[in-house]
Amino acid sequence: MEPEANLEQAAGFKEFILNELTQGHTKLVVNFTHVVYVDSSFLAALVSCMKQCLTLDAELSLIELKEDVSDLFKLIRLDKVFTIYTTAENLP
Amino acid sequence: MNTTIPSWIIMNCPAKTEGILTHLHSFQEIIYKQYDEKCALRLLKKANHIFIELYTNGVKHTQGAFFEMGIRCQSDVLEIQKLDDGPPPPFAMQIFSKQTIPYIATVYNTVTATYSSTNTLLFGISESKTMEEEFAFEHYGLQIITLAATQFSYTWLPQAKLNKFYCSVNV
Repeated sequence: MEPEANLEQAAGFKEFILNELTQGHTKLVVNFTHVVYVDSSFLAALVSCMKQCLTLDAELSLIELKEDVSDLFKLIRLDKVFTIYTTAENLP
Repeated sequence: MNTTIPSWIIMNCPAKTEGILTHLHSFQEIIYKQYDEKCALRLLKKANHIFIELYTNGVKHTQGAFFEMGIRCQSDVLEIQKLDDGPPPPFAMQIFSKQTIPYIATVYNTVTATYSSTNTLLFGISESKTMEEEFAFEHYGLQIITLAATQFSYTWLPQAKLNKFYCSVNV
């Protein structure tokens, strides 16, 4: 992931995730280690991917969210929608 | 807080995503300069999200090469606004034409936009949790700013043909 998860990356990210799903991958993990901010366009892409995962019975998890990014998910309650792990070691 | 600044600090921002981080850092420096560290940290918890959303909205909707971000640091309130020369949002025109119809705008929280005064809408959070409201659509940007700001409004400035999004955060 790039440091800036914004409208510029949203479409490409969504395409990448949908491609992974098309290839049959059912456990996807998005690592936010280097991401310093997320904008609403990228969030919309993430939610769209999550909806697609739900229809395919696939899992989409997020890891290593920085404090600001984590705060944003909590602000709009998307922390209730996504499975978020603090580190890769916490993944099941 | 060091001093009260009565005038707006203006940033002329290029309508490109490449400028976001640079301007975000400049914005943070202004806040740290104007408020004590503890207060600045608390303010930025919300103001960072507001600044990024207003900025990316400017990148998306400005027709020219630049748009304007304004910051005013007062002792009791931090104000952030964005001016751009893009077309007015369709939902705003819809509300202005009917004047009293609330606009329901999102999913996980429900954001309303209601007619406030001539060419001005006020955004707010509704207690209603229904997702079936008329006019409902997903707009995470509005949702983020409405939740982060103490006050959030949109004004269409017809003579200048500018969109003004204004936010305040209580200090």
